[in-house]
Amino acid sequence: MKRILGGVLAVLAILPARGHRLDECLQGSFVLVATHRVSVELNLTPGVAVADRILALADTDRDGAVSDAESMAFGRWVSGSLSLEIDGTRRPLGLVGAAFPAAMDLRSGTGTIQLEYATSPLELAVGRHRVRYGNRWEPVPSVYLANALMPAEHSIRVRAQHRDIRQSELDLELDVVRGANRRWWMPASVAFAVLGVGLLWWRRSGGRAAGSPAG
Amino acid sequence: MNPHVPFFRKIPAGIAVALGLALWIVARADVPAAMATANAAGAADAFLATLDDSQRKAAVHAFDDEAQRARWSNLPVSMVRRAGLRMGDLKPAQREAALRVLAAVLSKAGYEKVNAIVEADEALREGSGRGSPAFGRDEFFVSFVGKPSATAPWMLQYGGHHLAINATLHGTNGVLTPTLIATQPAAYVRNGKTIRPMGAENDLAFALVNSLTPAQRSQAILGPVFRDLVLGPGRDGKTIVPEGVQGTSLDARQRRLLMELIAQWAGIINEASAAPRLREIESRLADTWFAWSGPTAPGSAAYFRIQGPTLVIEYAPQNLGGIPANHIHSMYRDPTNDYGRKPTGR
Repeated sequence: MKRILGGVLAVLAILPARGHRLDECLQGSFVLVATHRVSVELNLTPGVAVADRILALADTDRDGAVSDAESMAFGRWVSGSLSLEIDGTRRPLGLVGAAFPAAMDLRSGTGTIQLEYATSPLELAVGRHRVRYGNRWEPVPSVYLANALMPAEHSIRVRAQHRDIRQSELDLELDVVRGANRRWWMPASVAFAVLGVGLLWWRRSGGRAAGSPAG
Repeated sequence: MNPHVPFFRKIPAGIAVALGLALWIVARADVPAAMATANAAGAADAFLATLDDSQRKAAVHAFDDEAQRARWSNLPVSMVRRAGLRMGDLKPAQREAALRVLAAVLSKAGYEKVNAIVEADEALREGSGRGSPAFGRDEFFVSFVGKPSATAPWMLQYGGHHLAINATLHGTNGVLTPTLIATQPAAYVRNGKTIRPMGAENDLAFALVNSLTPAQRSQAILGPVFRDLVLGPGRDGKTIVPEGVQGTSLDARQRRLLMELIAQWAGIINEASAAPRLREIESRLADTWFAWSGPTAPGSAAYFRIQGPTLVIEYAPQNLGGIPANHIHSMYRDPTNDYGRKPTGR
């Protein structure tokens, strides 16, 4: 009851700031595709009026703070509402990390819960692929944003991003191309190493040849 | 060379060579930008000289203070505490000196825009009841990350509700990213004149989207609703996949409009630093994308994003009190050089 009253008072106190999100949770997802795995970063920023409800879901021992174990348990629970498909095959998203802000920051509507997920190792072959991500976690009214991060590998080219109107679903069309990922310096350094060894061998054998008449 | 030429006859040639060398050095050194930084550092030193020791300690943070560097927000200061000196706590002479630093770091148009945003917050304060969050021109904070210098890197932070100016200066380099400009209300009246702090951004964007052909619009206009900034506060170091219509598809008039729109953010910093930045952006305009989400009728609330290899601008308005786009957030970033990481080599 005290918490509810506190929440109501907090909302009343910042009512003139109503341009900012108070009674919704902003859920921003970033999807990063690599040839060996797909990862998702989910940032949850609850507004001041719904922060206590989110906090209550995570703070299971009711001690007023979210421990590391509670953060991880919360992250695993949220993952049940996330989905990822690669070329029509469902790929479970495992929790990689979870970080909760201080309860005070969360209650003031300024804290962001950061959750990181990834698929198990995979191999995206050369060719066209489709990655579909869905976020159906909505214990409180939510606003969604979903975006693909620029792949770190040059061999991956995101051709298009399609989303539903709420952005709770993101559908990526991408190409994996051959060779673009190989760095120029790798074959170049091998060539230089071979050249260097060859030069050394030539100088040594040349030196022996030049020195032999005197010997 | 004739060894018999008398020494005094060699002097003019020596002077000409020295002058040529000096001109070459001056041209390479980008003197206007260096002078702008020296001028800003001078204004900052003058401001710091008006402070007592405790104020000076609160105002200047170590250059490697990454937490302070990232301590900025769009939210009211009562919700997110800012460090530095609160303008409302300064004496009039100190306050004027602080504003002179801001004026030296920013262009004339940039300073006017920042002032209009601060005054919008003052209008919000006047319209708010008791017990409301801290709004108004007293609730903005000034701080430095690093000691102001003409040659060594330092950063000016000036911010509060709906404003985060993060200007990193390093000799001939002036970098304004990441900077957040926003406003509520979108328009207010001062001395009988209607002020729209982000009016130009809004009007140029609608002019650009309405200049697009049906084929261009089908690329530029995205289906989903964007109700917030994607790369707002706390989203440093991320590069998203660009979307919309690409610069290569725009005609000369549309490109001019796009550059005018970009200049509303890139031109906030002093002219000497803005000029090379705008040239850099223009040189990559073919790789720059313009995306839109929402209605295209002028006056409505619509999100847009401009993204290039060294640029991200986002504009996210909200309907408030029945007025479309009465509460606007916008973000200006350089994914390759936020906080001037390139020139300072951090």
